[in-house]
Amino acid sequence: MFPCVLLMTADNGGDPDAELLRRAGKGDRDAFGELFSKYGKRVFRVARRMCSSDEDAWDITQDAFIRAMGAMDRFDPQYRFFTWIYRITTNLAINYSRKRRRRREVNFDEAFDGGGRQTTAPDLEERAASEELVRAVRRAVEKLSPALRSVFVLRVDGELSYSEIAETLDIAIGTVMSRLNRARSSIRDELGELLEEWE
Amino acid sequence: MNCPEFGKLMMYLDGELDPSARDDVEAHLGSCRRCRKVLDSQRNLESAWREDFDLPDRADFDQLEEAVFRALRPRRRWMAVIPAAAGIMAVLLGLKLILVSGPSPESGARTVFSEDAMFHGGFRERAEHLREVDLPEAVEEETMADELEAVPAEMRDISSSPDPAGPSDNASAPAAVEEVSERFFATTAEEPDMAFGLVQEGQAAGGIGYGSDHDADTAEEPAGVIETVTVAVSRSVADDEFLQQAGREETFTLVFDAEGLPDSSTAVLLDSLLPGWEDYIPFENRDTVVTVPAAEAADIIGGW
Repeated sequence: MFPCVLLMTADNGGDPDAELLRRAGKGDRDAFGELFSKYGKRVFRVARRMCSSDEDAWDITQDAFIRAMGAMDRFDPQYRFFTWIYRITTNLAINYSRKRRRRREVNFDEAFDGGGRQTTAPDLEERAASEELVRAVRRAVEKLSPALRSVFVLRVDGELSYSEIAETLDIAIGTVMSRLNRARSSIRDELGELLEEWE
Repeated sequence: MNCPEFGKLMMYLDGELDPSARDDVEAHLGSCRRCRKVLDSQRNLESAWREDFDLPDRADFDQLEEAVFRALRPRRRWMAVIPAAAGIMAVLLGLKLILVSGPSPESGARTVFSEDAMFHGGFRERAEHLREVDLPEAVEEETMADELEAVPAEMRDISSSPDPAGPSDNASAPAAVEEVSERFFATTAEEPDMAFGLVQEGQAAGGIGYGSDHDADTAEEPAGVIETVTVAVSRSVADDEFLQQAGREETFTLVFDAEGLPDSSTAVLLDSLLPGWEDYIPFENRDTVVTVPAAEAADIIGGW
């Protein structure tokens, strides 16, 4: 099914997904299903955090898998599959986010409230102090530039290590650390006094 | 001991400090309430952020998985019909070369601005601008049959039969022809990802510029001249096949939407010509269709 996948089995012995990729490359439905089960939700989560709507997140997730599996000939076997697909996801999400920003039609906070992402009913949310803090965090994260937001999301949502983030975004670890610090500092600055409630 | 920098505290939080540095920070935290507060607030903040997320239902992911698998699956059959595809393209190009009169295309990049270059709704909406190629039936079938002859038998097996049992005999040829025909001339209303082989009237469809003329708004076509043809290649056509196809073209047509972003076929080309283009393409090409000579495409785009 994905013939180019077969080319990448020799050098990436460290990638725990190599065998799955090899089987998926032969059209093995179960192997593909296993890969998707392993990364589909994670990719969706990163995409959803990076963009402003469920619809975009679904599109990005679908696009990311199709691109990743369909363009394996450009996959560098020194990397791991999950960093490859995260890279595609973040790039796609940044493009979507630029698009949305230009249209100025999506309010991040409203999109979240209306997009089914909330765990709390709106009326309770208004009254709950903790929810106010969470919303403040959302607003603060939304204000981050795509470069800072992607590092923050990969670290906090994706729970990637600094080296994995560096590999995903193809940047130096030092850059990861500085961007992460700037992202966190910016969020804390935005929260201001609200932050004391968490201290 | 002085308080560690914020970054070092965050590295501690992330488990990224080496054991010695970690011990130092822990020793400091034992005696510094301020640093503990910073750490606790950050931990709580991030924990709240993480928990503030509901994943969609599993069924939604199952559907998406199936959709992705289906989108990838036709590749094998596409691989098998590439020679036939090349043949059809050659026929189309030949028809155009024979029948089109008038000045030759200009050299160098041309840019036209067109409201119709906007494809806000993605492929489904975009497909509405497309219509089927109106090849004479006899030419179509003859071409298919000729090209099929050139396809190795094992590839014909792949394309003509989902049954993996054994090589096909001659009887499989008509089936293969039929499938090729379906693939290349399927209507995209229900299957927008299969836009390959469709042409668009008048306006740019993106992807490969197939000797196309995007000045349709202003150009007057002499009577009897075949209509300008643009072949739209969708993103579900695998990148490598797409690029193989693109590599045979004399010009590339790059389509940018109202936001100045490339459509997906253009994005595939840019991925190939200019890795990392997302970082430095200025996104100033709103509602723009740019036709560039294939041989100079990388240089021209790189100079933007």
